[in-house]
Amino acid sequence: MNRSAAAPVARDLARDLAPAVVIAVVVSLVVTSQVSAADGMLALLVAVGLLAVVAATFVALRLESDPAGEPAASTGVGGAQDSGVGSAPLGGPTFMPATGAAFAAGRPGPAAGAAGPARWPAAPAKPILWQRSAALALRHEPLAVSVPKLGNTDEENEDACAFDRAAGRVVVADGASSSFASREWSRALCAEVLHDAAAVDSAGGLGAAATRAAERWRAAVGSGGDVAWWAKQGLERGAFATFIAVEVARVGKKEGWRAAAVGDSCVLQLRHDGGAWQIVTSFPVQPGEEFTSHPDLLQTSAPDDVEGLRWAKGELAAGDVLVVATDAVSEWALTSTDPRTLALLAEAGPEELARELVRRREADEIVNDDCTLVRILTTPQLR
Amino acid sequence: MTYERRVDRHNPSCLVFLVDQSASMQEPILGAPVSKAEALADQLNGLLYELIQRCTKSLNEPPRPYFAISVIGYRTDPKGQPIVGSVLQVPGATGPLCWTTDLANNPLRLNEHFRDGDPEQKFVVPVWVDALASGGTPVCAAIDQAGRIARSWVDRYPDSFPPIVINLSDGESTDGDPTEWSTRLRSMATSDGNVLFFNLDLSSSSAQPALFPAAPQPDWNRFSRLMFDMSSPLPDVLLSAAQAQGFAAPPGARGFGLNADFRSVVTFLNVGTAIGHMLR
Repeated sequence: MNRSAAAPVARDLARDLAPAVVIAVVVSLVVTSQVSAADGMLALLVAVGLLAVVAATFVALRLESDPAGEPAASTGVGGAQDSGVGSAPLGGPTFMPATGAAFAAGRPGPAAGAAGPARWPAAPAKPILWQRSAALALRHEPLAVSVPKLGNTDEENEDACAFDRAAGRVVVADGASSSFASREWSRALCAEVLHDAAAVDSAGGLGAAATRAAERWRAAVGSGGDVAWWAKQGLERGAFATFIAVEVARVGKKEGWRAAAVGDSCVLQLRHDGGAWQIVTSFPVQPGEEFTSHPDLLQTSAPDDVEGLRWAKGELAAGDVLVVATDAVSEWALTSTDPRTLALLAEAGPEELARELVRRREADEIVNDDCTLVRILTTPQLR
Repeated sequence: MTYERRVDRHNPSCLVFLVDQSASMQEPILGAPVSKAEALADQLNGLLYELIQRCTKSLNEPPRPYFAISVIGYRTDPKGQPIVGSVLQVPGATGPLCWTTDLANNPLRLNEHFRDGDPEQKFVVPVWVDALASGGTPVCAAIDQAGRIARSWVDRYPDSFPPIVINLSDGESTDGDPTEWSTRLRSMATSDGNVLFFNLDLSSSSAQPALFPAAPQPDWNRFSRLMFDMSSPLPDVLLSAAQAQGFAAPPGARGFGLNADFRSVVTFLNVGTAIGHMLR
């Protein structure tokens, strides 16, 4: 997050007088802290100070964890003039059957992996209603990490996340790269749902929040005016994003969580069984289930269409960890055969997590996508 | 695993369309009052438009170079000599591949249309490809051209999703048996899999129409059988795209269509290039 990106967040905080809330938005690795101030100026000062620390931390982390550096200019927008691609027949062997030896044999890929673990029961299609007073403030500061896909800058990260510690709510959204201004859309969704319990209660509630988010998106993107044909039609087509909101609350005498999701951003409930970390629950994508290239999405052009909305809930045991993450991280967690993967997600600090996400993406263990996660810890004294 | 690479600026995607421009393409296509050549040009323009949309991220930035696209027309001159070359006219392009960024800024023209006939609701339809139909069908020369492009691509982007080559033709090859050419084309590979070669047979034979079949049928003629044999099986990502469009598309289904009508051209192109949906 650079200063220019940070400033609007600070203004939002001050304007909303957001009590006990920190928005940890994206674009990099963000470590946040709690703002508790009734006074607007105080909130602003705290937020500005906080963001300065965040920015400094981020710069240090980037310097430390950016192994590949920026991509070669030929892969950027200017790559269109790339002569190597343009002049196809030059350089490489010619494509002539008479000289077949010139062609490298195809490199067959490895066989498909073994089938995953058995599927769990499908998520319920009905909303999980709780009494509002049952919501629990988070005992610990959540950890939020977000790194843009390799080759992209922080300003191009299309994931967003936010948490409201007092309300016990975490929101994560993943803007679809093939859509227009999806970064602004995922941020708008997080901002609107964060303080809106109704958005997690019902399809109508989420539709209303997404409708407000679409207005926020339009204001952020601009009207266009006299622009190129592709820009005009991009505005009309709009943005798409997957979305998940997770709340922690009291259920009877126990603590639990509930989630509302559209698409394949997931919540993973991790538990240490004495020997290792295990996945107790994942939602909405189950172990063994494929992450497809066409998940359900919320869209700016029809924000109240929440047809893909699913709900789930679970009980928390002492020491459980909830990880709310976009699809690339979720898929890694659900499919990785490395025993260290879940331990990293459950225990690692923000710097180590960011480094590992980058490293494992380079090793093709994680698909090259924006990677975002928010981690919530429950306490050993919970019961 | 293969055919899983997501498209980004590090690993852009290469799409090559081979367009039959022989005289028989003047015949009307099934299902619409236009010639096969016009139907193909229309659908290719629509597809390029859609791909560019997927690369468009903001008002302030031109569409990104996620896709390098080539449209190769093939026909013969009156003496039967093959004429094979790029149909896209983009200033400054030094070869047959054009990035989506340059395509966006260089359509041949912008056709104006009005939604519901309302003069207030103008919208533009960019055109990059015009219909053309004359002469013979030099399929081997066309695959040769596609192979050169693919060779250059896999050398330059060895870890990208492999090039997808889509041949749209209604006629029997007039310059020899293309089998060997297609085998060589499909033998090239990136670390993510072999080059994919798909064929849409636009001829109007007596056989039952078919899209993405897994096995040849007895009523197919020799030419259709040949095109089926040349076609790559659909990788999982495209198989699920075909299924999402309502096709049975069993495992082993080929990127092949027979007796295509207007609608199946649309479907075939959408499924064959569903790699565009891997932009996440």
